[in-house]
Amino acid sequence: MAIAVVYYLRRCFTNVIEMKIVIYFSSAVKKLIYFAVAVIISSLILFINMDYFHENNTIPGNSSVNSVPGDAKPSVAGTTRAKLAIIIDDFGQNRNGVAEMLSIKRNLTMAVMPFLTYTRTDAQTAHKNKHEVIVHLPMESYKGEPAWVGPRPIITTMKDFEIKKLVTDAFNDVPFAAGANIHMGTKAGGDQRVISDVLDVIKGRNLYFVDSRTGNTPVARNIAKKKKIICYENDVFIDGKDQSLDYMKNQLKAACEIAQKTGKAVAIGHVGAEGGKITAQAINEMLSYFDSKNIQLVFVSELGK
Amino acid sequence: MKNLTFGDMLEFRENTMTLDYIAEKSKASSGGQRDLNFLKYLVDNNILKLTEAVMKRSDVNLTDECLLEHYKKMKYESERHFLCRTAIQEELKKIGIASFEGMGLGNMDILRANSTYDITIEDFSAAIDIGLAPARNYFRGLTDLRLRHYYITPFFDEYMDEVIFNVFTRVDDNTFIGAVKDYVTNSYEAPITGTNTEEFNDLTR
Repeated sequence: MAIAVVYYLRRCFTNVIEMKIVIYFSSAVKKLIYFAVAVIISSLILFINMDYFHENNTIPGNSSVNSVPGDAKPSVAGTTRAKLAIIIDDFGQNRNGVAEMLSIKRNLTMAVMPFLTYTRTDAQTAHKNKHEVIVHLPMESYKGEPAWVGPRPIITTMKDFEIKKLVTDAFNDVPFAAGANIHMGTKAGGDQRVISDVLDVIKGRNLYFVDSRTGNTPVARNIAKKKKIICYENDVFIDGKDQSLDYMKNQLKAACEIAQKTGKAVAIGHVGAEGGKITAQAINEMLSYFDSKNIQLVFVSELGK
Repeated sequence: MKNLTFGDMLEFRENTMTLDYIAEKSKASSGGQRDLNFLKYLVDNNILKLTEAVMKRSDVNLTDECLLEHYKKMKYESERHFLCRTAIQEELKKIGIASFEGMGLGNMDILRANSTYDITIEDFSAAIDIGLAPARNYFRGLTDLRLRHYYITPFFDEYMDEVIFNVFTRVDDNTFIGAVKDYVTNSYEAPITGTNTEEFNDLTR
């Protein structure tokens, strides 16, 4: 009898241990499954976020600017999209093409001239429409009438403090400016002392500079390198030489080719007499081409990212 | 061929207006009575010479559209001021003189501030104001020795055939610089008598 009781108890005990093992084993599997699911979900979140930030870079001094919804294209795994920054010069005065350009829902950089009638309103509207704003610094030129340069240009006979004060005033006049480029400036843009003074102010504000390369001897890149300032150079002028739509589209295609070869490119167009509505139309009609060639339109501040 | 200067376009003549009259018409006291008192002190003591010059216009039929196409209108600039400014710039352009609008002039080491002028000749030899100008514009630019003459025309309108400028010139560079270098300090004592020092140091702004 006693033996039977012991045997019965032992069997029960064994069953209990077996049951515990089964229960323990099944909970471990569950934990493993939970862990795997968690890993998959977090990977997905991370992937989505990375893609979002890739498309949604902020600009210096303008952290509230977000990417335009229509520009959010998924990046192809294992490939990097070539970047094209389009700068539109001459905002602030002539109204030809201003509304059309500002309504383009892609990342464009708007260069606004200081001290003009529409300087503030154009900069504010560009910022509101989620474009990047830069100062379009008027500089002395060999060619063209001096009157085209605009008010308070930087000229080579100025003293250093005059140039620095003028650049500071220009930045104070254009709200939301993330950088600067050159208006005209075939003469002043090639003067090392002048450009050095301009870059000193830009460095003090932690902004970037774009050498529009209007002259034959661009000097900004080397000086900027020494001063450790972010500096880009213009690759292609979209308009100016020819007012035809075909010419402008071909120039944009040329900019795309440079971007595909080097990874990034800068193209400059204009509102006003040099391009205006036709330039805006050319950009609009080329948007699908950019997408088909896997070219990403970016702000200038996003080129280095 | 000799390079023409702005002076070559002008016919200089004796004054027909007093400083008080010019100051009143250009609202020179708008920048503060102290500046105006100092200006009077400079002229009364022959540190600044006041003359008059007439520019005959070659074309009075310039249209707004034409000027707006070639020139940029400055912020806060009225239509009338824009037309008057660009009409003068057009005359300068015709004889090959480049000019810029809205430039600042003045030696920061002397007055620690400069003034902005409606038109500045490319080589800074002349600065021109049209219409209203505070008294500081009359002398601040002249602290930069590149600027030889300051021209102001308080009466010009775009339909006028002639532009009459009141011209301010340093009689002697060293005397002028010596007179203005301490102007920013309140305790400045006039080195040359002629104007009431108390009035000159009036800080009313």
